Amino acid sequence: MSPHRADSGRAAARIVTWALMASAATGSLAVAAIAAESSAAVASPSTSSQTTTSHRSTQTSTNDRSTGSPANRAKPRPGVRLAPPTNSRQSATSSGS
Amino acid sequence: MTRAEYAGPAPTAAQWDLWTTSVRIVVTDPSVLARSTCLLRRWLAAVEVVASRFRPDSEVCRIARSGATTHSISPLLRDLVTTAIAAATISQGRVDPTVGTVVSRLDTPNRRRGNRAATSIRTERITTWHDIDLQEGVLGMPPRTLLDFGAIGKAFAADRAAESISRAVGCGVLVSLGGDLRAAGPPPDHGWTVLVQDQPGEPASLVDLGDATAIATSSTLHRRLGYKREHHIVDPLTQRPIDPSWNTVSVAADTCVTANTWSTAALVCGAGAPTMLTATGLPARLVGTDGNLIRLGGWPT
Repeated sequence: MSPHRADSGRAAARIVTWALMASAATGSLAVAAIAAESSAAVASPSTSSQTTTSHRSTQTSTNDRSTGSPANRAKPRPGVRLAPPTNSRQSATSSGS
Repeated sequence: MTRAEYAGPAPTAAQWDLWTTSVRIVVTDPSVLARSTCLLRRWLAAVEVVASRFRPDSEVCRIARSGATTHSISPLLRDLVTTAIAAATISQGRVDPTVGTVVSRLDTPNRRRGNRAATSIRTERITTWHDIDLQEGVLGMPPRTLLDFGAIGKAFAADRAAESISRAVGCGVLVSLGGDLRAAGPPPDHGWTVLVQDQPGEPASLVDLGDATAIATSSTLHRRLGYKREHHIVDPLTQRPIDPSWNTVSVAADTCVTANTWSTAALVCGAGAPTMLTATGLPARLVGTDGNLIRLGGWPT
């Protein structure tokens, strides 16, 4: 395995690990789902009980992002769709922050 | 309960100002509004005590002042840090909680006007999220690092509060913290209708949350840092406020943290944001600094 592929593999593993931890912490699958490399990797995030996180040993340059878009690792997810409003009675405003 | 099964009274809401923005809670059962409001205030107070960089007594400010490299932290801060690291990971560092150090430095004149964080931050090298080590509730990071949850903190609070309040009161709840909005529980009969508009005069979009439960809007038009009045979105890589390509980016998702991570990352990403957001498959709306409007992922016209 080339060094590049090895680095990619470690980065992918780290993404899944962190995503699983986040899902365990927040009780949500969303971060895991959007970050996971494969559907298998997010099959059981809620069962993760890992509470130890450290990635100092797998540190990568922040310049990684100039060569690899995070979007490359994100999978389109079904079920997140907005719709045209059925009434004009707005519940709230999403303004900028 | 599905939307079709809901036949209760019209949603009712409470609203107040906090954290230089507007807080709003909407519930589908008016009889639980007072209790829901009380629960939300408690949630927001808890997050503020832990994560505010404007409060000298907050946990993040005390950690930054201590000069130590390891810290035993509260469960809430642990969850925030874990969530922030996940956001940094999926955004490849575009959303990084360690930018608090540089944001605080850029924002010094503002702190002196009343929001003094009582932190004096100077570091010799750039600290990034890679330097964070979280093990069993013990946080390790370079000394004097000020964590900043300005990007995902409100989204985290909206997610947690909406979910827990909905469970507690047993009805549909929508929590909005400025641009960060999260719904939980059964929606009202007409759905959650949300106006997405950065500020008056900016392009507006009225949408039904549909299958999404969260919308986050990030902007370069609002908050300003320091005497230079630079906007508050800092690129963790350059440690400087970004040169904005977009006035506003809104993203819909199933959690507000996810939506906010991508909306913030898009601002930092700049011109490449549409490509990045398209690959996520999430509905997104971008308003360019030139007024150009882009809708992605099925965002309604």
